Amino acid sequence: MTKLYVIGDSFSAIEMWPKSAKSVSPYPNYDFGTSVYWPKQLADKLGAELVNLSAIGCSQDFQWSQIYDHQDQITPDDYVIVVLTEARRFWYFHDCPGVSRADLIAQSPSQAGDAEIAEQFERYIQRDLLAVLNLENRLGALSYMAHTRGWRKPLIVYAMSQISDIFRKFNNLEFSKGTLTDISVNEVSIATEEYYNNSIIRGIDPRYNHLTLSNHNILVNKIFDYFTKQITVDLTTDFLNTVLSEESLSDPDFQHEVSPGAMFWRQSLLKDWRIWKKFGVALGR
Amino acid sequence: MADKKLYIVGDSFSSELWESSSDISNNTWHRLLGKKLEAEVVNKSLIGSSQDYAWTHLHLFQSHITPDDYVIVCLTHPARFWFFQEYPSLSKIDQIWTYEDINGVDPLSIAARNFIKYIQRKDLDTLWLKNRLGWLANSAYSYGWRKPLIIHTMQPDDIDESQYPDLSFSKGYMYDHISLPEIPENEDYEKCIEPFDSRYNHLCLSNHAILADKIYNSLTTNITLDLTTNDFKKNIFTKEAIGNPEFQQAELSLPMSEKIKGWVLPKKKSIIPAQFRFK
Repeated sequence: MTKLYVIGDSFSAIEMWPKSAKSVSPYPNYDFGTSVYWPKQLADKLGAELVNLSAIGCSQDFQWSQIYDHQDQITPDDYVIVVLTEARRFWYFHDCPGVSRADLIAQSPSQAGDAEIAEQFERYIQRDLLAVLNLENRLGALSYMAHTRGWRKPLIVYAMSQISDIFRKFNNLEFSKGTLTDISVNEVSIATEEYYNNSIIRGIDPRYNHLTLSNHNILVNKIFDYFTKQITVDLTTDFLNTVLSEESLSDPDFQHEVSPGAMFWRQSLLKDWRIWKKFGVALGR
Repeated sequence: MADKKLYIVGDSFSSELWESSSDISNNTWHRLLGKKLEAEVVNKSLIGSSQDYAWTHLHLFQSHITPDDYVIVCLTHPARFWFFQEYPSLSKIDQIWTYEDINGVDPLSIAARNFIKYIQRKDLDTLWLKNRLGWLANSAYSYGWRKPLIIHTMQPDDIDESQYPDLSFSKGYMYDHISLPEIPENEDYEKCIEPFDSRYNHLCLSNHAILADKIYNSLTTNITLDLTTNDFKKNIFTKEAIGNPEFQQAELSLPMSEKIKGWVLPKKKSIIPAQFRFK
């Protein structure tokens, strides 16, 4: 059976990594989107089996490690989507690919020492020259893999803006126009960072993959059109804007747009921040 | 000026020395090879540098390289890391000490030490190496270059070379199969190269000539560059030979030999000449 490989970050993942980490969720009875999120919808529409190798919070290095690990299984009939995360994220600890920024590591009190080391790296060693160099090397390697193995052009969907735009020259790759972050941010009714963080997110984004379900559906159609009609995936048009507000989150008619599990989790976090600590410890370090 | 170019990136196995150009032998393998190929040599190799430094130059060269040109990568160890933007030669833990000799212990050197101790690991080094080779192979394929030649300077991590049909790889390693066998097994290796190696690119000049011929044949006839054969001279670099003026004249870097005679521990900043700094 044809497979759809999706390799991305929280814009396509519904689980921490390793997948067994899901078991640490305090709410195992909630479905965080396995049946409705866009990778599953797209796989169904393409008639393909979904192989989702995404991990919340991961770095590009982790994404490429997944590609290398699965390159021998991917066939020319399969579909490959890389949801390209931020280039400056770094895969600090092998067993914890989801903690790729010093500030995320620092959220767990048990990892304060690790956070200091990561912060030193980000402040003194990581720099644009190296990040761009590595990004271009990754894309070149993927483009070459697609060429030598005869794959369909892998689709690069930008999760967020990249620090370099010159990699559009990779002939065996297709790139989205625009970013998923722009869709996500534009969904919020008031365009201020304070409102976004303090009124909408509040520790846990209540949406599936940072998008309302209606925009999942639109995204599925656009990516389907790319794979079937070679139409560039344009993320700058057609998506719903300004639909997410404090009011809509409490509107029963809007609840189908967001994740019940994430909503419940979010509300629990607001009540008891010690869950953060529990969750951080459970990340495995 | 030759209308084709020989681009070389790498570490001390391919770098020019830092003396003025008039002091540098024209008999180093890269210069001999440039003559044989009738190509202008563009050599951006740097002693002690990392693969990232080499690939930075390959990225800069990319739009200039033509299908008539030659590209050689002397592939250094993947664990080296370009910590200090201004000092690409200082890519190993012992070279962080050199940085600290120059600048004192500072937040940057502490960050580099901690990176090596707590973050760096073989699987990441190998991942980055795969990406680099993939990018280079993709460039060669996309731009129609001759196959770039990857010369292993030392044993690499496990890489499946068959994944890169648009690259050529040496069989064997410059260090293990040429440089090290020049020193007899009964000689104290460290004594032969202390305080530093007086050979050009860690090879006696006789072996530079042999290497240049072998690379020339590889590039022009598409045969594998085999460094494991018995063509190279062995057991010639001894403590006794190093003190012999005739041997020095024929095989070694005379400026380096002169430096060794009067060698003292470097004063601050004396160890990294301006040419070694990345602009």
